[in-house]
Amino acid sequence: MAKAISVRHVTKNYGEGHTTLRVLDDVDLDVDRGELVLLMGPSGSGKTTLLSIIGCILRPTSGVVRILGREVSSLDERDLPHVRLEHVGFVFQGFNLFPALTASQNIELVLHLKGRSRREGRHRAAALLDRVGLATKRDVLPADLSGGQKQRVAIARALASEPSIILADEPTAALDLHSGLSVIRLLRDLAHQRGRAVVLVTHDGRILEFADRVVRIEDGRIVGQEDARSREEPL
Amino acid sequence: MLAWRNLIHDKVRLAVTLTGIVFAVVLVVVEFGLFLGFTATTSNLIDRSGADLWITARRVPYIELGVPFSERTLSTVLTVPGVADAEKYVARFSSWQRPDGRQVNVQVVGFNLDRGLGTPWNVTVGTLQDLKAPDAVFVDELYRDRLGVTHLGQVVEIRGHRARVVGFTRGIRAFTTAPHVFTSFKNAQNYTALREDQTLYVLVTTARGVPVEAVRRGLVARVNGVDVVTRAEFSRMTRFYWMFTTGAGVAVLLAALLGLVVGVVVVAQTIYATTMDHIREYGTLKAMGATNRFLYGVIIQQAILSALIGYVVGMAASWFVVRASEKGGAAILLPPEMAVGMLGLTIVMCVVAALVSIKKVTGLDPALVFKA
Repeated sequence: MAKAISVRHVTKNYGEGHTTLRVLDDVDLDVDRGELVLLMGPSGSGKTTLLSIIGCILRPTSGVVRILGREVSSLDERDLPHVRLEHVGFVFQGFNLFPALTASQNIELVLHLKGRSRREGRHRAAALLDRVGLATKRDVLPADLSGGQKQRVAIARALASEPSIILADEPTAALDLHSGLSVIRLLRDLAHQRGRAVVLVTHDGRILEFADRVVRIEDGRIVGQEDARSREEPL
Repeated sequence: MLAWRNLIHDKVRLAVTLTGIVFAVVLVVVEFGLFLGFTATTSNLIDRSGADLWITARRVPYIELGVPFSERTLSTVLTVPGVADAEKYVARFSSWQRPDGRQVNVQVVGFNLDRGLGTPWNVTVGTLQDLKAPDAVFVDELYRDRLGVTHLGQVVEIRGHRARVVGFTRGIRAFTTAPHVFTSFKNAQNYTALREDQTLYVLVTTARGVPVEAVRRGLVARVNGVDVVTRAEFSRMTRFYWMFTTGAGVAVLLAALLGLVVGVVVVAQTIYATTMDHIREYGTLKAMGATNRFLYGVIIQQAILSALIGYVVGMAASWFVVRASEKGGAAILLPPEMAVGMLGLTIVMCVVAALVSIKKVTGLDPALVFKA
């Protein structure tokens, strides 16, 4: 079976000529379905750039990216929104919920993009909110939710299109310990129980123990990978 | 859904957006309304005369500069085929002496009381028949104070001749500083030092079904020593003189154009700022898989909704300004064509301003969505 994510010899440069800045340098990375991978490294090491390239938000300068076996790095710009909509769900550090929309409407919006009816969207949003433990918060605006609740709505929204891949950028950074653990458990369950490939960019050492693998990046290069599956399952 | 909710979610931002659009709408409407009002005022006597053709002395450039010619011309005019009616007409400056002795420049307008050509409109007090008295005049309510008219029946002097105010009109403005004084043709001859055998103009109506141009050709062939112009031509000549030759209109036109530029800039700034306020949300939408087309749709919908609300409120405010101007010295016109044009302009201004900011959205920057 094809890897959920396959990155081969990916390089990313910004600028040209003397001002060229190499942010990623010959990066290789595979992520399987059902795997939760942490991308760790100092600020400016290229973690978010790699996440953006995997999520088809950025194009690599060179190298190949495959999503579920399909090469996406050479796709036309017009085809990328469809790839993101069908295969990738994003979870952001700042939640990025639409403040004017209720929790349910934030999720329904993704289903609207997929062409689902309003009725179907409403049912699916209710089911997703139920799954993340927010069944009673359907009609609440983001401003009236706690940080942990917002991030769970964001995860439910990321799941709305039933993507195979979840990409999360510092999803626990803005949360307290309890909320952060709640969110990371949810993401781990998505990987282990629902077979999603989950890639997390994080500085948060608290969540190391939840990862199947930790990938360390420095100066745009992968400098180490630690398979953590042999470790004891955290409580 | 998203466009509308984005718009109404932040009430303060909505208020700021609408304030900008309303300000722009009122500014453009008032400036252009003033221009239209000024333009219309210069030629209102011609436009409301009811005549199809105006016969003037040779090379008269505008109505205030009429040159006397023989009133016997009238009888020749009446013999030309296609002429349904014709009447003598005077519009000439004179001097009005107020009851307190001060002199005021006025423009005496004299017409035949029985024919309906060149008569005043919007008569609020009195009837045309009241003007049959040898000293009877109408003035406009707007200029009562300037003319020192305190009551109906007040007696004043025009060029040393007794005049008695027997009626009022409403809203007949003069472009110059000389208010119109309506009276019979006979009185007007006295008030303007016109000889008994002279007139300044002959107004002509054409018979039904006869082309105005054909009648004009007939008049030019049969009547010597005069010019024959259509109402529209004479109106255009008069407007052109006052608006462009004197420079007065250029100033008003420049003010109107400046108002348009300021309005466009205000709307562009407002809509741009509103769109940029939501830039992170649009970036998120794009990261989630929304196409550029979908984003354009949301942003343009938001711009159009803002434009429509701003237009309705702006036009309501403009209407009050226009109404208030009816009692003032300067007319602000708001014809239906301008109201419709303003709707189109408001939508175009808002959508174009939104489209400028769209460029920021369509190039998806990871920093836009990933930073907390």
